[in-house]
Amino acid sequence: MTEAALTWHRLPSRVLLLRVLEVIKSFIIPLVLLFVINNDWSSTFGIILRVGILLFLLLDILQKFFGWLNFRYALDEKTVYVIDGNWIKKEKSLPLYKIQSVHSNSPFLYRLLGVVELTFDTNANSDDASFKLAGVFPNEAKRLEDILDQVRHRKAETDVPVEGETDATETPVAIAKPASRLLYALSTREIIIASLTSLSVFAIFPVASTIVSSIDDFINLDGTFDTIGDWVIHASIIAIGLLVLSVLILSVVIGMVINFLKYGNFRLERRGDRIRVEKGLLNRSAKEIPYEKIQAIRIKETFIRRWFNIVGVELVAAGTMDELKDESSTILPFVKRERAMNVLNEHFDQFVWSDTLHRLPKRSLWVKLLRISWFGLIVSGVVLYFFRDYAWWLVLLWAIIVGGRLLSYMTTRYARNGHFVELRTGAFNVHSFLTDKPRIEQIQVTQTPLQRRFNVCNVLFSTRGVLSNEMIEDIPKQEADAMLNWFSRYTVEEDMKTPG
Amino acid sequence: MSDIETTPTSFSGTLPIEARTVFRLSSAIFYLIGLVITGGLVAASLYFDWPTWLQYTMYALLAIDLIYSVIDIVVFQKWKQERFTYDVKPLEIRLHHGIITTHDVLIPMTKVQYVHAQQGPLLRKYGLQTITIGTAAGSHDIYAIEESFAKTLREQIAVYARIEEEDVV
Repeated sequence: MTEAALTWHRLPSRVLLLRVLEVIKSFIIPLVLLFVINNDWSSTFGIILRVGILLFLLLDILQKFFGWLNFRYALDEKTVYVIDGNWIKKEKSLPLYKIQSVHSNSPFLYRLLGVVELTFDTNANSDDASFKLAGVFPNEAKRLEDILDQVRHRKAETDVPVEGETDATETPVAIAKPASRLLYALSTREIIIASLTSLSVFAIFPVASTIVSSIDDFINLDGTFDTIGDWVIHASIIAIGLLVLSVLILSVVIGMVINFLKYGNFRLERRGDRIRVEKGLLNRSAKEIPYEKIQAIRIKETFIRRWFNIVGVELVAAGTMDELKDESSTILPFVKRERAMNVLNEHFDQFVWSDTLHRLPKRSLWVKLLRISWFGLIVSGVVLYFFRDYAWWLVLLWAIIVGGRLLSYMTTRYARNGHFVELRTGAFNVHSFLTDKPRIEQIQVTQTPLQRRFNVCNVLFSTRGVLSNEMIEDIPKQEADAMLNWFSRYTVEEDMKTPG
Repeated sequence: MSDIETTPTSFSGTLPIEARTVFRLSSAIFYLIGLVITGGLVAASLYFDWPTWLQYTMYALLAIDLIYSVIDIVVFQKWKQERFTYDVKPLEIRLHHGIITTHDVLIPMTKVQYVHAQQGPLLRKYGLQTITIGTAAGSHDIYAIEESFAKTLREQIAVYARIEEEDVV
């Protein structure tokens, strides 16, 4: 209909440069190996290899060029159209009202060239239902977001028929962009504390050994590390202590740098009916989650941060695409518990946290302890058979296994509070999960023979969205039945009290 | 049709006795393949004169496969049929199944997104169908119910869940 009137846009021409840079970046290791470190054109094979790689590179860049040339998009008031594809032309059209959220992402190269990547997300889970503008100028991004905002407002108006005519005069005011309100910004201090309380401090040892051995493949380091080994054997305890200490400090610094790059300038904003999370120093990303898509809230406490009362808060949201799902739904990476609860109670008040949670009965502990640990048995068997000298490490292993079960017994809590169900699970890392009845897709109660003997069972709650299943283990059977009853549409609404 | 009035508002029941035969046949096929493989391993261990401990391991595997297949076919597949119950009501679906570990599933009708029916050669031979009920969080099977009843049940679930309505988001 209006096809002729559409103005088609290409992505800006510097996106082409960006694509070329990305291609070179993905080939950087072979390029450096073949043309810098070992630039040897003497053998026939070497020439074929190098010419081949250059040809391949050229083809890839050509393909990217045509990809850029053939990608066009256009908008009218209701729909966005995209034409894409080198060999097979694809035309997509997507009604604007279906677009639930816009995520912007600017990796380092994008920032260098001053463009952003926009992802338009519908709430459907299929890939087809979303599309991406990989590289547009910020002002164009803003224009698109503004258009979407207007569409949303139009929809909101038609959805809610105005009852009193008096309101009609005020609606134009409401069309103005919803004011964004900063809920939380991460401070430098919090990043430092988080880095200090991270277990990844100890990850330096495996990481370092991997790096050393992979460098070793290219450059001969054999001698160097053997001398270090010799030195360690002959050095005094103080020297080794200092060495370990400095390695730990180094790893804290590395952790800090990583956390700064990842969470630097972290901002949580509320814009009308959506939540916006921005984060990252080099790779900056912004993600939006509409309020009505929030399925559940999860509070995470890691083993060490629990002692410092530092928690992380995550949203379980429906319809987020694969590439955006990890980490991006974190709305508070590491904050003091009180602060987190304040934000949650104030701005996510559709979810109500309970004050009192129920603990597991004593018999659950027995079930947990009696359960066979296949992992422990297999490891013990292997160690006892093949490495009997190291058998005493098994004590540590079993201490961790039993300790984990004890902790799991102590941390597991649950509550049903009106429409809400709140679960707190985990052993070393604890997380609390809160959702409400309309958002639960299904409940599954399972009971193993051992659990049957002790009259307890597991309950699995599923909501929409990724990582949306939550299991609570070894709760009393009556309680599980009560939960099923609570969830059943046939139970008359009444304020059910959970037995203590 | 006149039998709409007679349609019960709730469908509940267990799997028909033929389902047991189907379960037994399909797991018999499965274990037969297992037996062929382990038998082949035993033969290979004897023929190529593998180390003794490896030969014993192969014998043990064969024995485990044999014993377990007998228990599974005779007992477990019977339980699988006996212990499955379903209850489809206008507002919710309840499934109960499990051979040793029991599972109780409760799905509200409003959350049902699709209902599929499927039929393999074995099921077809016995005039049975498997119904799959899918939600956004996963799917559940009502295996091996009688064909025409499966059709009714499927249509009834679709009506209850109002799947024919376009789900505009």
